[in-house]
Amino acid sequence: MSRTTIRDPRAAAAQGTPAGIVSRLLANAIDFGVVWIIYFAILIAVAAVRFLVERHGFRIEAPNPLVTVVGQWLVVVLYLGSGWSTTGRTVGKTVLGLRVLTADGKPLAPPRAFARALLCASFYPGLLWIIVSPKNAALHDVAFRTQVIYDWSTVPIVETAGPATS
Amino acid sequence: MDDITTHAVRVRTLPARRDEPDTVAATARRGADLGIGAATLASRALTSTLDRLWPGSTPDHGAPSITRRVARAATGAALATQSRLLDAAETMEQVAHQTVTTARRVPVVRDVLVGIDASIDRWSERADAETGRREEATLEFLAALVPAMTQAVLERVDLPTLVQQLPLAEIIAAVDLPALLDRLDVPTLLDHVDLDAILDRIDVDAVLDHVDVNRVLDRVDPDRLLDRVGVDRLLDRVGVDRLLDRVGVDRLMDRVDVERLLARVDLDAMMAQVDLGPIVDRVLDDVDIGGIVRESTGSITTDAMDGARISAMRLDGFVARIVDRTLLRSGNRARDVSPPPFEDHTP
Repeated sequence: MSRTTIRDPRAAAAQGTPAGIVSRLLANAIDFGVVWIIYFAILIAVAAVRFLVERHGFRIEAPNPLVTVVGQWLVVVLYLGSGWSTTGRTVGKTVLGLRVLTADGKPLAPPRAFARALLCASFYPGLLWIIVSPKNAALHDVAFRTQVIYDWSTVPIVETAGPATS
Repeated sequence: MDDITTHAVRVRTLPARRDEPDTVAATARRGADLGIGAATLASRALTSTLDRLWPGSTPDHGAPSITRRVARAATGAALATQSRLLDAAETMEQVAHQTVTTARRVPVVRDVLVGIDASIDRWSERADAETGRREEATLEFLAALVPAMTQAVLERVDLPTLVQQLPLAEIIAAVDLPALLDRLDVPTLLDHVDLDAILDRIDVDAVLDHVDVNRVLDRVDPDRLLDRVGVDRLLDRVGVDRLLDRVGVDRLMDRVDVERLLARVDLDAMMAQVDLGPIVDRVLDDVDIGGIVRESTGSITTDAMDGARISAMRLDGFVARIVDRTLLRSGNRARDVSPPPFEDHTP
């Protein structure tokens, strides 16, 4: 099922151009929510396993801050890296109609996708570089020669990615 | 010689019919008989009329007077004498004819007679031509006279009064309409009728005001009427559009009692005849309800998502413009970014 029509003419004209700071921040906020859900699910799963092992008192324990930070960082890297290396999208980018590609318009290979996710998860303020970048590029875009474009199409990237045009 | 031969043939007379010899005397006899008959009738009519209508006279059914008897006797004697004279003339004519025929066999006489015959023929032809011309003139005169006279008579006749005096009701009552209709060749009749011209002259509304439709319908046998009328041919000749132009449809509809009409329609019976099952099946086959639900919910979701995306896009542009102006950066941002690899971004 692929989307073929975009009724708003300005939105249609903007397809393929680099996304701005607001769209990307919103997408990241959604992704952050998704990460929290995943992390909470992991906690539930751990509690369930402990309940099954210890056989008494099902409780979800909050891990210490270091574990939480490291755990969440790990989830973010895995979540973002797997999304960008497959469809070029995470849940947040899907909602906002964005897609991550290389600077020459190709899908990201897994190493580059995970490396980008690593940098992104380690240094969130790098996103703010979009504001001043003439190409709407964040720091991790500059570092790994990637771009985030408006792309409302629903076609999987592996089917549609063609040769670079620039 | 050709002339002589031709004329010799012409003077040969055809044998007379035995019962009615074609002689001058026979013709005279017929003329005399006719004249005497007519004179007798006229005389009798005159006498009878005078006897009945002359002021003061009374019809006398008694024995005729001596004078009348003598007059009748004299008439009888005159008729007998005329008959004898005509017999004698006829005999003489036949003898003369026979004599001429016999004499014609003698060559000398025949030559003389041929000359005489030629002369007679010429004068006969002249007579035919002259009389023909006069006949034509007379016929022309009569042809002009009769219409003029008819016109004069019609002008002097008071037709409306005459019509009023006619016992029309009795005449109509005496007419055997079914028999008359049986004898009418309606299709041929319709071929000769200019219906459009007739309709133009009819004030339909006025006619309808005067017609008691129910009474008319009571007297009509529809089957028989339809059998006799070639409906298709009739419709071919009727200018339906012109007819509709003349009919006040609104006025007609005002006179139609719709509720009464509907009250006569048996809806239940009508519905009982309709097999709804296959119709519903066909409708459901044609209508993809699942698809409609999917599309409608999908479009709602898509619309909401598009709204959010467009809002974010505008904010992107807004922020970018502010930053670009602050940094004194000219031109639109990120123009040199490569286009996407996707081709389904059709507006």
